Amino acid sequence: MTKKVWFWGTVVVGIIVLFLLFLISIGWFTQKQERVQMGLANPKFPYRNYNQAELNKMYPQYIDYSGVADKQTPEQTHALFLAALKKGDFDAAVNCCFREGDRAKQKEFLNGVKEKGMLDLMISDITKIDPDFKSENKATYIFDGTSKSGEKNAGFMTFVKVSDGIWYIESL
Amino acid sequence: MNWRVTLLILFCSVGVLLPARAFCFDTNIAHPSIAELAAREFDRAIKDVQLSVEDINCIKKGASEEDVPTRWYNHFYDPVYNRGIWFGAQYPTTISWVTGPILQIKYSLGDQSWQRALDYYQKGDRKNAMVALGHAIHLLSDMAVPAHTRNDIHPAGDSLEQYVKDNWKKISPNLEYSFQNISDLNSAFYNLAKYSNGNFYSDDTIESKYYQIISTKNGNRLVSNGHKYIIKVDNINRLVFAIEDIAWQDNNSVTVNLNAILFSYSTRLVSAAISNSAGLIDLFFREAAKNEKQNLSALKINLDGVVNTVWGYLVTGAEKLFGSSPSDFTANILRQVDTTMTTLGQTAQGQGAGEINSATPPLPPVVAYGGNDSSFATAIPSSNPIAIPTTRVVPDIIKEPILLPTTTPPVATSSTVIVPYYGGGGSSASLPSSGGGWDEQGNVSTTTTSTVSVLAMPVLDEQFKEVIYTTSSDWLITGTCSSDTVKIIVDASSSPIAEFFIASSSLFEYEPVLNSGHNYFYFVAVDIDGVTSTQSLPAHLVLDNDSPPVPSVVVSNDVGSTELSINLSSIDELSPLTYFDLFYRLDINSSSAWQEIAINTTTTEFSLSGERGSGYYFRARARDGLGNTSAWSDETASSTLSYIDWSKEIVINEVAWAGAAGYADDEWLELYNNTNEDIILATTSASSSWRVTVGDRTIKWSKINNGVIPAHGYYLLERTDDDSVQEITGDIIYTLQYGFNNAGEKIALFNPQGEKVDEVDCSSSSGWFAGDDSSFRSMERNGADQRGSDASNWHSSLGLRMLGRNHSAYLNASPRQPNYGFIVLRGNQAAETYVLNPSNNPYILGGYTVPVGKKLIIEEGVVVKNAYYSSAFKINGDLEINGSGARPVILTSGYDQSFDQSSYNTIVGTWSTSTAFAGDWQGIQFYAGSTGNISNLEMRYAGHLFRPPGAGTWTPYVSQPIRADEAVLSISNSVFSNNLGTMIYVKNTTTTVRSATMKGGERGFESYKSAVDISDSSFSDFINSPDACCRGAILIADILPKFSNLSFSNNTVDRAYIDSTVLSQPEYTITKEMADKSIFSYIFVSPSSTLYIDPGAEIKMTSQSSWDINGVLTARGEAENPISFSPFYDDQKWNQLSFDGSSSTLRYVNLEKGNSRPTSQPGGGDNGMILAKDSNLEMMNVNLLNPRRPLYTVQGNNSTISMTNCEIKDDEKYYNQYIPTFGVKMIGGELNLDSVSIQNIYGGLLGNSGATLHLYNMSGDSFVNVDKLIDWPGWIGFDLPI
Repeated sequence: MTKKVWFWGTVVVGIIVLFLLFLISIGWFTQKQERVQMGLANPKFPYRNYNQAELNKMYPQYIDYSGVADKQTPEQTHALFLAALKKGDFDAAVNCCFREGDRAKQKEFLNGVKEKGMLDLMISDITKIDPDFKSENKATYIFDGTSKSGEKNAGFMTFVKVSDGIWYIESL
Repeated sequence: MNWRVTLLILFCSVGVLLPARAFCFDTNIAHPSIAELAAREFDRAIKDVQLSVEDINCIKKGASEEDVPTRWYNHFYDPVYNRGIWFGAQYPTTISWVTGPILQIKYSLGDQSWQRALDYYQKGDRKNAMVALGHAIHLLSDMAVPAHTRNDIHPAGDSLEQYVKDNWKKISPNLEYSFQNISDLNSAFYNLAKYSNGNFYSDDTIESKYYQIISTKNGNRLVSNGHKYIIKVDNINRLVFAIEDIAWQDNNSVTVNLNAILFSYSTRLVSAAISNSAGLIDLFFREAAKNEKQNLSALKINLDGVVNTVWGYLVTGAEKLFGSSPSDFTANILRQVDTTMTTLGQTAQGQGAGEINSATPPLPPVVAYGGNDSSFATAIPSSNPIAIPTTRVVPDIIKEPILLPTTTPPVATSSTVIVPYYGGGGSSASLPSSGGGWDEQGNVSTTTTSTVSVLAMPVLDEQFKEVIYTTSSDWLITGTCSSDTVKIIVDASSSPIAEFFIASSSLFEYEPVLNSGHNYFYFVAVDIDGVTSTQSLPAHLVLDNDSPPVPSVVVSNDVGSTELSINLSSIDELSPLTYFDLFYRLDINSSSAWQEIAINTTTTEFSLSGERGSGYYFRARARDGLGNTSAWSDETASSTLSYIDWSKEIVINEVAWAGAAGYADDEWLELYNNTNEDIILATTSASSSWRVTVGDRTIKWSKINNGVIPAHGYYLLERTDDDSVQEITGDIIYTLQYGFNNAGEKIALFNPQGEKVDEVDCSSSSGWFAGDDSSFRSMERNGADQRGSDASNWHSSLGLRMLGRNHSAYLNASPRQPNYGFIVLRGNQAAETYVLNPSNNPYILGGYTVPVGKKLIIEEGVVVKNAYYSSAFKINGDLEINGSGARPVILTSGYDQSFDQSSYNTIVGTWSTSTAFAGDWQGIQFYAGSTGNISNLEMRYAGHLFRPPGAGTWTPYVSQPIRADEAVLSISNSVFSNNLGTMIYVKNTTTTVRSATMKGGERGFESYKSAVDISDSSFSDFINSPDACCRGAILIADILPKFSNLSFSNNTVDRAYIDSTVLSQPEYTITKEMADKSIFSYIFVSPSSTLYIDPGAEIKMTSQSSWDINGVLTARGEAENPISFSPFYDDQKWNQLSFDGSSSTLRYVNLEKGNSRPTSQPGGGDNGMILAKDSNLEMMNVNLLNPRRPLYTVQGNNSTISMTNCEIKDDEKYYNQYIPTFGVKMIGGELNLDSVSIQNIYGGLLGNSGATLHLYNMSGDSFVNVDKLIDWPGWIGFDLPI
């Protein structure tokens, strides 16, 4: 093989290799961008795939606070709520016992109960609660509420646990 | 390199780069348990294929792994609307997922699809086949969870799932399942999903309007655990949900989160999941036996597996060599994830999802659907509900008759636009039952299968599933209904508006009355028994005969650009699209034709290239999709006349065309450099110099002092000599033939290339745009980047500046200074009202006087810096300071450099110090008749010494940042800090102070003969001189003030000093707070006044101070909150309460350490802690303790004194043989004592012949350690009546 043939053969092979590399690059990049779009790879070059631990942390199916110690149990929240209601301190009642986003609405509700002259009845009704359903993040407690006809019916006080271990009242 | 080496490298690279799969996400109990029970049920029912222990373990493994993130986003399937979950994006249905190998290879664990499972099995890989089958079983089991089939994402955990997990041992013995024959995969998923969707509620979809309402009986009252529950049960007594009936609740809660309900749900749903999963295993083996080729990708994970190996390995290797370490990278990602777990979940079409905790899974990006997988393609979510699987065999457990919509054409023919809209469909449902009910004791029991009939909702024809825009009100809405329907009710929103009967057909039609705007019509079917269907999805018709608003046309020209940008806007609320027509014409010829830029376009942004110096008009109109067209916009509006201006690198910035007072030839001109570069403007070579022309004359440089105009700097050109502007050296001295014509000129600036750079054309008949030849104000440009020939871009000089004079007189101009700001406030205000506004910040304060009848207004955000030590506002008229909380008015030292804006930090004035100090300027002085309304003021560094009004030769200088004499002053929300002396000093001035913060100096507030009301204010760090007469952060004399909510801290004395006040108002009350915050000196209560003292008031008296009560004193203490009088300093004594002609009452009062001035007058003179003259004094529960001795505790002179339950007591008995010491002495008058105790005193009671004594409930025991009990004419003893 002459030097000329060897030279041109090398050039042709080199071009083919470069072309293949180019195709591979396009394919690699396209695939990576698809994973990035799906949230399965880091959006920065070289678009590293997230490992399973990272995915678990980023996309948990549901929030699990079972590993978070209770800082304020539903019973403690209930006791704080009751104490504040008895003092007529609605600010304290909502601040201790409801998530921040619920507080204004709940205070308005409590004011409404007071305006209707039913605050004492409400306090009396919810003084005693019994647990019914409880999971890692949610709980339902039962109290004997006074119905419009004066009978006693089961009312639900539901609690939800948040990330710092506090059980807040979700609904009353 | 041979192929073996290449293969080895590829193999190793895959091992390095692919993520580890060892992680086991799902450790919960339910899925593997369901899978195991299903496998065992399959073994029981199908004898010809048996699963080994290893098979079952592999199935359980697959069932566990399927919840690995982010696979679970695809575990939702709403069979009513044929959609997956909406969680920031629409995800595919579970059916699409389980049969979507292309979709799955992009996710964790790769392709575990149904096809992949079959492929494994057919290739003999039974282990992986069983794992993949486990994945499918997991997915089918999820169809038995209402949250997964009712579009209810549950980031905080679904109650049912958690209940099953936590109560598996309780549930499993109660499961009743049996092998369920399944004909095909789609039917299995669809039917199980429909079962859980139609018969159960999830946490947040109880009686959701988006789904069929489960028919329930009236509330059943059940007793369990001592509570009476109201449980809604369906027609065969299965528990559905619980409801409250509480009197104090506005809206009674509903829930499924009770153990009894969740138990009922779980036993039925888990049983269904196991039954169907067993059938799924059977289906798998039957399909596998067909040995059909599966159309699968060669890759199970991703193309990454190959391409990444070649390319990614190199890149990662390079990163390791040159970049950050992968471990750091990963840690960083996890930290970011920790901080972004705040995204809220979202449920379908606004269904109540309830609030989600602050930590909620973040939204993944939208998944792009694609691929050539046919089963996946058919399952792409549709906007139309009820997409029925192509082949479906209804199993025994679920029967779902489907009512298909039919299509009829619209009757309207006028202009109509239809745009896509989510449509409605409906079905009648025969809901199955396989679970148990709950009896009165709360026990779950198994019931036989039964059917609940529900009337199908009406279905509108196809075209009404879209929003219809129309100009016609003539429409006929058509649709179909169940054959059981006898009547249709039409609702608009929630109110019925019509109803009509259906004869024999299942078709219906309704002619609506359309109002302008949006019209919604819902249809409800009613059968012969009065059973009603759910409401149909609405027919949405928009009647629009109104034109869109005339569009607004906004045109702009960036500095230096030869293009105009045109922006149109016209919002037609009824039309989804607006179309525009846009035209332009040159301004130089009003008759020129309009030129088209665009016709009938939805584009709103345009650009037009033109010539510098030219102006253009624009007009536009808008049209909606129905052809309604607006009028043209006003083409004559100034906003549509826009110029492509000169390049303006340097501009003509100020023109003193009138010269100066008395020196009209002292004209000058100022240029400004708009660029970031210094520019050589003048050289000795004409060809390289810039040129200024005035009319047809050219300015000639006669002397160049400085040829360079700095970047964003000024350049001063003075005519003839350098005296046109004294104090500032001109950059150029020039000559101009005839000078500026006072009637106006056109001035132009050219660069060395001869290109016009800026022009100011004042040559029209209206003359110069601003300035004058009366007060010789210059003409100043507003914006250096705005057009020079625009008259609105110029103003007359705003006032005097610190620099620039002509023949010693200050110029009314700003030579080589900004055209705004640094305006000097000095002399007498000329204008009736003068307003300081922040656009001229900072102002420079000299001595500024507001004369009588004139008003100075300082707007929010204004900053005033002083020029000299004696700088002050002297107010004879009115001062109004209108700061705001966000933008206070700041009055401060010329040296103050604490501002964010650099121009405000310019040092003003000449100072002996290098920083701002308290006392750098005087302050504000109000004179007789003036008023001050001050809000949100920040006053700093004031308090320079000055002579107060009326000062005599020997009157000392005072330091008072605010001083008011005979004025009316109101101060609110203001801060006084770093000042000297007394912050606010008032005399004969009605003063109100609200929410003030005063810090540092000698005293916060001092008043004389002024009605003062101070509230919500704080006083701190005030240090009184040691020789000050009256120490305290506040000093009040002559008139008692009103205080509320004051706070003191870190002062020499943290109280107010109340000095020598006269009470002349009809009533005044010393509150507990006022007492707690004050020290009291002399008080005189006038005969017509009543002074009340509130319960609990602890009154601290200065040394030897007395209160003279000529009016009424009512001290209304209480047993729990007594009033006290005691000296402020323990080692001192106060004097007395002296009543003269008074009728007063003291209740529950402790008086201690009074009587500081025992007299040497014969008989004791005016001695006593209580002295009553010609008065009627009643004391109840009063303790009089330890007065200074000798002489008396109480002395009455021609008065009636009645004491009940009182005590007169000295801790140590005083005795002087020459001077008598008695508890009570009476000269004339009457003394009535009831239950009074006297202790440790030489004498008890002393009276003269004119005095009368009455004792009640007293005996010798009432006198303890008393030598002479009673010295009274006629007194014999307690044993005999007196």
